[in-house]
Amino acid sequence: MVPTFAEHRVLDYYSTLVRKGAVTKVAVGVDIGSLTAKTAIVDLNSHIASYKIIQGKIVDEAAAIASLNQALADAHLTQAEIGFLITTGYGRNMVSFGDKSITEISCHARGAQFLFPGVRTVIDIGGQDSKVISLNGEGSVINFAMNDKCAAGTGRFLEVMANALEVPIEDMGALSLRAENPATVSSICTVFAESEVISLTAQGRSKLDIIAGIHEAIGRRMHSLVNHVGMVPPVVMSGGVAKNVGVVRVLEKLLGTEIVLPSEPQIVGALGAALFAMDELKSKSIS
Amino acid sequence: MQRSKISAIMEKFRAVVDKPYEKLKQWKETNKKKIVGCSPMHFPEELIHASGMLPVVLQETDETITTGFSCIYPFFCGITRNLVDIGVKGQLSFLDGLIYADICVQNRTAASILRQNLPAIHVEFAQLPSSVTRKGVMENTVRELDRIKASLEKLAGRKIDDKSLKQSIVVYNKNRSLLRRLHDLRKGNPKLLPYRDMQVIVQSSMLMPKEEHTQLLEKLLAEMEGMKPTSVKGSRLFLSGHLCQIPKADILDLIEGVGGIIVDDDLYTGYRYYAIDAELNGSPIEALAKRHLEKSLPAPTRTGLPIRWEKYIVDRVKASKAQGAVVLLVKFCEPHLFYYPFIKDALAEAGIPHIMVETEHEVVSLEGIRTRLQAFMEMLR
Repeated sequence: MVPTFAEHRVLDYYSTLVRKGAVTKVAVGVDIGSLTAKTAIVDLNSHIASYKIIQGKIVDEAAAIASLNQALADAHLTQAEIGFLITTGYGRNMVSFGDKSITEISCHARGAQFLFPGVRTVIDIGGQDSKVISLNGEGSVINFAMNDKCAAGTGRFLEVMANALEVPIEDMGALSLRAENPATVSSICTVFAESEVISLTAQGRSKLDIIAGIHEAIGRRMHSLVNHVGMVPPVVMSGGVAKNVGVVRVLEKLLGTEIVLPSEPQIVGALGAALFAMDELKSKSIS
Repeated sequence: MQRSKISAIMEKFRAVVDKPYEKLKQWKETNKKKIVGCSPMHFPEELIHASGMLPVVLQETDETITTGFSCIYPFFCGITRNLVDIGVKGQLSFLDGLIYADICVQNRTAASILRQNLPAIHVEFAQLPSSVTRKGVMENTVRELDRIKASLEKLAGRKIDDKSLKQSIVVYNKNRSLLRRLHDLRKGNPKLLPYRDMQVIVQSSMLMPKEEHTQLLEKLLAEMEGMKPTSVKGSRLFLSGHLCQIPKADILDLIEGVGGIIVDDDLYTGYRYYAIDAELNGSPIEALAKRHLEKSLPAPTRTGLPIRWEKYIVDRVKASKAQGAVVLLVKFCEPHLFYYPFIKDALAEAGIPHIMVETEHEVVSLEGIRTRLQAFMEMLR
């Protein structure tokens, strides 16, 4: 049985240890994404002490600090207990704190391997980046591909579409599953796709069909990116878009394989960063 | 002290590369000499040099394409569009002659557009063969070089005899041998100078009088050859790709900034430019033809060479003990795009990790490239 993220959470156990003074230092990963900031904290036994996701502005240091402080507070820790802190994500080099930065590609791979040992492919769709990471089965990255031209097929793409359709973004996944005849939406450009969505609405197409079309556009885009590195199951999906069941279903259909989902897909990068921080902490304590 | 001398020499190279066409215009006014531009890759500059005119290899500038939009397709590569654009805007008007040598369809189109739009400049198109093994190819190459030679003689107002051409070959061989020395020196001690600076040195060699460049290079080598190798942390990389075009300095800085150490390359504004000398025995025009045909490095613009480009890259990566390769691919560069699938497969088969970075004339998303490059370095560790 593959452990889920929730099963790794040991908050009560952890706070007891803190109260007893058994915890001295922890490792922290902060993922500063384009739309959200995430913090994960792990202890020397690689137990997840806590995590926090904060919606912020674009590369928002205040949101990153807020996620860090709230994650620390949840685990009854203070900043004094931080043994090593690694930043990751789009804003990893743009914040004023952190001992080191590591790319989200390495961190998502590490986080996914921790949650689902033996994972071979990670599909991460975040706010403005989407990536496909190929692992060797033992946690090492052997190849990756990343969207490098535009934000089509990312979380931002979904946000723009949700605004155009006046539908809450978190409802899109479930709504799309009720579509009868998915519309065709461009997978090339967010701006053009938005125009298409407006045209389709004017033509009287149902919101359900348009949303399903949007998800298929993302799916086609990601399918192409997956082909760049080659897909080997098991496939894990991380990032905020993994919470959209419509996109996940489209991808599963296109890839012809089941996609494994963490219970909190947005935290995988921060968790990976925290685990790398743990390595640093351990190597420091050994030397 | 040594470092400050090196910096002073580097400043001289940099001054040439920064806004090159403005500098060449000033040079012409000061020296009252004719300047002939040639397209990158294949044309032997020695021929222009022997005529007493200044040969310069045309380079891409970062100017936004405006007027040129009406002359050339938007799906042509950066340097092709850029040269047409700055040409029709009058920025190449200081040139007395312009020689395009056949490398691709886009390059041919650019030559005819510039010929039409720059009537005051003598524009030539050198039909140098791309197949190096076809029957009679040597005779054809010599005939074409002879034709261009006659055209240059007319433009220069003086004959190019074998003696002067041989002398030019000596000048160019000397410069190439010094660049190779620097290349080897840097390979053993990459901390000697950032790869961006190596590029500046090669690019300036294409723009300034060779003799002056050689003098500066000798001084630079004299300073550098005594220096002890400095230990360097990072992943050794082989840089491949960019044929006609100079790589974007920002991307080179990104590679080195995230822990990559570029130890070797096959770029045109790199090893490809100075790898091979022309022979000094026999007819000098035949020596130039031979350099173009039999001795040229594998490139996607040639066929019939004894070794294919992808195999050559794998061999060079191994020889340089690089841990991985970075392939810089110019958007819309058809010859390179044709070969890239072979390169990708050959590197994978040899177990050499690589990353391909596509560049274009217009600004590229550097942050995205930074993430990809940094992740690639993390993968190599």
